[in-house]
Amino acid sequence: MSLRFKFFAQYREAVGLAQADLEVPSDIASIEQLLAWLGRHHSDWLAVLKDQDKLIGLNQELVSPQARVSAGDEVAFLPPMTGG
Amino acid sequence: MDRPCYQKTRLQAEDFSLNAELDALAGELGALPAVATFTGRVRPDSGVEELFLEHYPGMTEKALQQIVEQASARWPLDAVVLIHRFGRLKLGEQIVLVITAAAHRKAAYSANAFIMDYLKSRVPLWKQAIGPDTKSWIRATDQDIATLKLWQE
Repeated sequence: MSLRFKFFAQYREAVGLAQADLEVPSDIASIEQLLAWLGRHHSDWLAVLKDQDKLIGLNQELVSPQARVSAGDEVAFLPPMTGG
Repeated sequence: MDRPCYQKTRLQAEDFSLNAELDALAGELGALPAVATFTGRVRPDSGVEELFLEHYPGMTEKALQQIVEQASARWPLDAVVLIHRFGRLKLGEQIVLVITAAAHRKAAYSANAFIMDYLKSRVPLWKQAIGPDTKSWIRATDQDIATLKLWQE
């Protein structure tokens, strides 16, 4: 299935990308499984994947690692936020 | 009878005017008994000349709206106005405006502080400090995370 990934602020700079569309195995069901798969197949994203403080946006909502992923979803890697 | 809470949320590059927003509110709702306002500006930290505020188009607007709705559900508010800017901002420029209006001051004060505390760690906005020859992303503080937990107890 195809997913769209987005990177912001220091994560965007770390991977050198603002956005990427990627084919991932369709048996990936959750964010947790997706992150594990990315860890094995995208060493270029490790700086972001390894950051314990990262937040995940799924279709523009903050979600937990248990959230379900499906084809066409937008997955965003968000550094801890610093607005206000 | 209770009237619904008037809500206005904006994410914009342009500056805003507290007086213009208060006038607009008065035009819409008449004289309000208790109004709390908070204006945040770019802090003059050493070595910083400008801030760059990055956002996530779509999600940032939604998250701002959600905070306003949470505050309205938690306190009996007559009105909430929340304006946040993005892009490049110079020292001393306005970043954020929160207006909360209620029948009594306590709700107006509490809701205003709640919105600012949530904003700092739950809305996709990231500040980059720009100096004469340096750029660095500002880190979220443990203090901000601890403050947020207080509201969740």
